[in-house]
Amino acid sequence: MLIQVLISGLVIGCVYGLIALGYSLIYKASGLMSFAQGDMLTLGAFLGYMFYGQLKLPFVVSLVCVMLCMFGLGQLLERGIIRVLLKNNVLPVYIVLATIAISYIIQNAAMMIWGTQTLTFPPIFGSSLVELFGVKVQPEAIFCIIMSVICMLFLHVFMKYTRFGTAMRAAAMDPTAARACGINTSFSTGVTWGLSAGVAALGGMLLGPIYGVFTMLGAIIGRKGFSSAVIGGFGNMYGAMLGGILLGLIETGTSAYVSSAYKDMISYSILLIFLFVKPTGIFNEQAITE
Amino acid sequence: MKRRLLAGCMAAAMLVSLAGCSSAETGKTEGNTTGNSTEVSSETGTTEGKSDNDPGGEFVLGSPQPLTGVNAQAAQATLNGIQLAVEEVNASGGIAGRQIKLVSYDDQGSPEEAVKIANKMIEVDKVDGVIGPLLSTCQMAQGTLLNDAGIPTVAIGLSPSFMQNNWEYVVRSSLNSDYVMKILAENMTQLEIKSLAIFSGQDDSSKAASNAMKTEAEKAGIKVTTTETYVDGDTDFSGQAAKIINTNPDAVFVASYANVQPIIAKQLRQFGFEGLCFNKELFQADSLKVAGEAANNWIFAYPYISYENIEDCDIPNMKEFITKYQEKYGELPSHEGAMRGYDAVMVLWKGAENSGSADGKAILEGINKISDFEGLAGTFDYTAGDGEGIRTCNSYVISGEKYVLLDNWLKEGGYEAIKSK
Repeated sequence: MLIQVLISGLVIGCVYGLIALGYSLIYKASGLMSFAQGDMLTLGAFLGYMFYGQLKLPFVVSLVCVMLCMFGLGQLLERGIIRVLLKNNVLPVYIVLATIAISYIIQNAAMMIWGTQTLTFPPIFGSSLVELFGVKVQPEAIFCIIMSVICMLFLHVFMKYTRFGTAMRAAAMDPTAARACGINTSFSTGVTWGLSAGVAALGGMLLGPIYGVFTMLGAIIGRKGFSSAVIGGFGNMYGAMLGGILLGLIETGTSAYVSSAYKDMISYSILLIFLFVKPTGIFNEQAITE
Repeated sequence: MKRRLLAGCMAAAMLVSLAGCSSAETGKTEGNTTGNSTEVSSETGTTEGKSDNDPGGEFVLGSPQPLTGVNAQAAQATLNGIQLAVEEVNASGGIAGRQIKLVSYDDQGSPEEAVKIANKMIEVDKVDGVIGPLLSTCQMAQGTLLNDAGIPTVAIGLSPSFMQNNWEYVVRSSLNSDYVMKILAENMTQLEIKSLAIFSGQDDSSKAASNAMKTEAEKAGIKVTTTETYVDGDTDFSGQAAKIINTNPDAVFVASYANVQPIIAKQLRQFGFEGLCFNKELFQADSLKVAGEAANNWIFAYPYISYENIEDCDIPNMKEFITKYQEKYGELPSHEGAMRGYDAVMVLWKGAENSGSADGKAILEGINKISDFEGLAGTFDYTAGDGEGIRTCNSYVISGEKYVLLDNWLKEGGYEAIKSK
C-alpha cells in the first residue's frame, strides 16, 4: 500500500505543483495574485477535449494549440482587466477580487459551452495500465509527473538565467526603475500572465484523461495549488513544486493511514502553520517579504 | 477610447456569461423571466386570478431546481420532464379544471437559496403546488415553510431524511434511498458478499445512504470493513481507494453524485480492485461513457435507467415518454431527473383528480388515496399514509459497458465468470 500511496500522492502533488507554478510565476514577475488558476486548468482541459477529443488532432498538436490559446487568453486578461485596474491605481485587493470574478466567469462560460456533464477525454497512451514498482498506474499519471518536473525546470531557468526572465523579475521589483532601464514592463507582465495560463492549461490536459473533464475540475485543485505555493515559498518555482508534492503526499497519506474525514483539515492546518511559523515557505522565498 | 471599448467588451462578456445561467431555462420554454424565477405559461392559454372554486383560474405550480452549478444539466432535464407533464395535464383539462402555470426557480443547489425561494413562492407568487428540488438538502431546507403554508409538495429527492419530518403536505414520488439500500443488501446476500467497504460523499443524501447501507449490511450479516468519505469537489480519491482495498472487502458500496462516479470507478479499478461495486443510485449514462471498462460489474437498484436509443427501451409507458421528450427537446433525457419530474406532476394531478378539487388539503387527501397508479417509476401506492409512493425497483449491473438486469446477468452466468477469475 505504501508505494501506491506514494505514487498517488506524487501524481496529485505534481498537479498541485503545476498550479502553484502559475501562482508563483505571476507573483514573482508582477507582484500580483491570481485566483483564476484553477479555472484556467478547467478551461485548458475543455479546450484539450475539443482539439484532441472532438477535432481528433494528435495529442502534441492539441497540447500546443491549447497552450497557445491559453497563453493568448492570459495576455488578454492582463491587458483587458489587470492592466486597466493597475492604471487606475486600485488597491492590490481589487486585483485579487477581479481574478475571483474572472474565475466565476470562466466557470459559467464553460458551463454554457460544454454543459455540466462529465466529458470523456480520450486516453493519451491507450487504456492499458503500466506497472511501476509493482503498482499498476495509468501511463498519463507518469507523464504528468515528468511534464511537471520539466515545467518547473524550464520556468526556473527561464526566470533566473534568461534576459527576458531577469527583465520580468526586475519589472516586478521596481517597475519605474525597470522602465528607466528600457524594459517593457507591460509586455513582460502580459507574458507572465500568458505563461501562467499556459502552465495551468497543461495541468488540465494532463488531468483530463485521468478524471474526465467537467466544470468544477479545477475549483478545489486551484485552492490546493495556492496552499502549495505558500508552503513551498510563494514566488519560488522549486518551492511551488515541492509544496505541491508535500501537500499531495500529506493528503493521500492522511486518507490512507488516518481517515479521509480529516484530509482537508490536516492539509489546511499545515498551511496555517506555515503562515504563522514560516511565511516565506520551505525555500525561504524572500519575494514574499519584499 | 480603446480602454473604454475594451472595458465595454469585457462587461458585455460578463453579462453574456451570467445570462447564460438562465438561457437554457428559457430556451426551450415560453415565458417571462422575473428575478430568479421563470414563469412558463401553458400552451393552451393562461388566465389571471384564481380561486379554489373558480375552474377557469390558474393553478400556479412552483419548481425550484439547481439550474446553475454542477447539477445544472440534471436540473434542466428535470424541468423539461415537469414541463412535458404540465402540457399533458393542461391538454387533458388541467388540475381540477384549472390550467397549470409553471414557475421555475434557480436554487443553485444551495439550502440558503432554497429558503429564500420558498418564501417567494409562498408570499409573492402564491403557488398552489410545488414540485420539489432534485437535491434533498434543498428540500430539507424549504420543507417546513411549504408545509406550514399548506402547499401540497411532491418531493423528488432521494434522501430519507426530509420525509422523517412527517410533514403533512409533503409527499415523495421518487424512491427513498433507504428502500434502495434494503434491495442492495438483498442483492449482496444473493451474491454471497461477506464483507463490504463503504465510500461516500459528505452531502446529506450520500451520508444518509451510507448510514442506511451500513445498517442494512450489518443486519444481513455482512461485515463493514471501513467507511471512507470525500469532500464535494475532490477529484483525487487515491488515499481512500488504497485504504479500502487494504481492508480486503468482497465488494465496495459507493454513495456519490453522478459527477464523481466515473472518477471513483476508474481509481478503484486502477488500484486493483476487481470485485463488485454497488452504487447508491443509477450509474448515469455520461458517467458510464467516461468510466468505460471501469464501470463494468457495478450494481445499482433504481426505478429508471438512461437510454441511448428509443429502441433500447422495452417498457411501454417509458418508451412513450422518451419519444415525446425527444420530439419536444430534440434529444433523449440526459438525466433521469426528467422521469422524476414527470412522475411528480402526474402524482399531483392524480391526487387532484381523486379529490376533484385544487385545494391543497384535498389534493393531499387525493394523493393518499392513490393505490395503483402506473407511473414511469412503477406502480405508485400512497395508501400507507407515510407520503412514500414507490417502494421497490429493479436491480441492474453494468456488463460490457451496458445496463443489464441483475437477474438476467445471474442467469446468463455473468457472476460465475467473475468468480472464476
